Amino acid sequence: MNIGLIGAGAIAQQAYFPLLKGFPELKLTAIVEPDERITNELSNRFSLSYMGPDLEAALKHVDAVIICVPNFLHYPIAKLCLENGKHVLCEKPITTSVRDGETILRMAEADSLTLSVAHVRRFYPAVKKIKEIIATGTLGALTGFDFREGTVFSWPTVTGFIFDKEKAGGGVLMDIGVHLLDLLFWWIDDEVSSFNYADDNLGGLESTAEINMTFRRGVTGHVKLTRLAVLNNFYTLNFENGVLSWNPFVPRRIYIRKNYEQMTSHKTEKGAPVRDLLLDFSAAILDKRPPFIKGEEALQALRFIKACYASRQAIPMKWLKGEASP
Amino acid sequence: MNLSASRIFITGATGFIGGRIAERLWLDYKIPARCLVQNYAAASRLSRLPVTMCPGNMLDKKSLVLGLGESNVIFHCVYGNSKDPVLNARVNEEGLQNLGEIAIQRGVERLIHLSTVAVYGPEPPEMVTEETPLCLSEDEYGSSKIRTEAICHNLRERGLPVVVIRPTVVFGPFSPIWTIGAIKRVLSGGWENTADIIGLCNPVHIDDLVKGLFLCVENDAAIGQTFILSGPEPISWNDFFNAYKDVAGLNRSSSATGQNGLKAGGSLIGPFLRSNVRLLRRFIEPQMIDIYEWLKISRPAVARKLSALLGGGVKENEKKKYNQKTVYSIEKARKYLGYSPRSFAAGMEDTTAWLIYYEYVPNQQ
Repeated sequence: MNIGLIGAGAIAQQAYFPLLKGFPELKLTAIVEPDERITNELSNRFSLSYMGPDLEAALKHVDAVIICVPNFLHYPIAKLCLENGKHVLCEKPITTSVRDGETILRMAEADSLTLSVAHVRRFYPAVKKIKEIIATGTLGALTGFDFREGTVFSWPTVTGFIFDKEKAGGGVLMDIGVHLLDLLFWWIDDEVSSFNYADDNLGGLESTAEINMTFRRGVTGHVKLTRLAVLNNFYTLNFENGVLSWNPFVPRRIYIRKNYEQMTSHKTEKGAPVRDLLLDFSAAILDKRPPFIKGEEALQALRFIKACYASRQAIPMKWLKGEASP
Repeated sequence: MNLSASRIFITGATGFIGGRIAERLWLDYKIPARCLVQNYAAASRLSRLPVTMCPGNMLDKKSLVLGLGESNVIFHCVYGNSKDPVLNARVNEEGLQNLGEIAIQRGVERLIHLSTVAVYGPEPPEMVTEETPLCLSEDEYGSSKIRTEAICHNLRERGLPVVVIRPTVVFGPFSPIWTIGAIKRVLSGGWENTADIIGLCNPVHIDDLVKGLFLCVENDAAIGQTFILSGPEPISWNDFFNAYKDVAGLNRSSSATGQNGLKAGGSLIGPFLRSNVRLLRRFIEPQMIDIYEWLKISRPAVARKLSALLGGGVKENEKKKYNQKTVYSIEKARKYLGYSPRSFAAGMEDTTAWLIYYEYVPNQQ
């Protein structure tokens, strides 16, 4: 199957190019990128049917696309690709507005095209194992959670779009939060019944966000995200008969404490999430089955993020307005 | 000059001091500053504000012209901090010259230049004022800042209203060295057995420094002057780091006398581990990360001790610095600007809240 990469910025360079160089299931035949410095450099590495700025020209050479452009372009590019009968794997978030997401979802369904979103963390073996532990009730019923994820932001953004309100569609909640919420919703498999949201946005984008939330079946929990500091990065799930923790930066290990026993560490397979994402995407197209990451699931996380922004409160940060002496 | 009616351009706004200037300008004056951004990856803190991010760098004159726009006040906080001392000197000196030339052409009404007390060299006298002679040394940073001050003097003679600021030990939320570095240091056992450390620290809270910078804009008497901006009075280095130990919930008395378990173990094992760290890394680092993460969650006390063991105490080559009894006078700033900084204890209140919120230390409440 021939595939095109739309956008050759940081995520394409770090995640996709190294894999697609020798990927039997997906043959890279086109790259769409307006920046000539990047395409000049890439022309030495790839022999392609098309490389340049013209998306419509590129689509003539591909069966499917991977969309790696700034968030606000996900919708118009996905729409054009679907209109041209191409299967779409889109970087997260699916779109910056729920309505746009719903539109491309309907288009894909109507034309029996595959639309998947790169919520790549779901492909970690440990993440799948946690889903299994919750579903089978190994530790009893899930009662609560505390998810924390924070690092000092250092993503080598090429365009800087991620700090542009219009182009990114949000701050840390839209960027890292969409990964975290995708896992949370997948693991818990329930609807949120109530929540409150607060962040540190001072008129730009939020870099720190907190959510308290309750699901319909009574599971309650707390989420804390930041781009400004390294937090105690654990996703902790509380069960009737124990506690389970997972660190997204040490993704092979699951830490489990049953009742009052000692904490034990369980090492899972290393996994290759991006490779598995691509394999699933290509298999979904060939087998005409839904992809592992469905567009509707990506929309669930986006809907919740939008609801958070709509009900935003300020995190009380007394150091922010701390007065120096007059 | 009226700061609230000013149009501001900040260089180094993705850094600690520049970032706080941008925040206070927005929070206190509703001024959305124009900010020179060389590296977007460092712009998370800034991105919370409705500022204008202007891509560019100090060696790109065109980007400085575009960045400055119609601004009439510049807070110049950029300094070269790469691994290349030649490039750093260029960023500091050639960059300031570039900015100064453009500022003169554009009729900028105030350029506040952030220098440093490192211009007094590695062994300053016990009382330092703005009149104390500067000292070129092997310290590239301090020496380069001396040359930037000379450039400022030249720009002033050509009519640019320049003010030079020499901050001391700037602490507070987001301070990379004197808050984040300090808390990491005490947590990793880097301030142990310090009974023989008798030197003085001159801390200034970031908000006091920024207030001082704003006073330099508002007060025309500041033009052409140099000011040391420090806290109200020096404290001992032990009091400075012990304040962070208090935040971290560490027992300051036992550590000061070296009676805790870390010292005994550290004296035997620590040097071995430190001297063999490359060997250890090559063979067991991947496993160590896993083990350490496991320890953090299952045996937090052991994790802290292990971390402290590898951290070591005050190193011999640091003792000279921490035994200096230099006092940096702020009398000139008080007199000219009405500068009146808060006590160290007051500054530590919001610093503590910030450290707890961002989980540098556990919340012990």
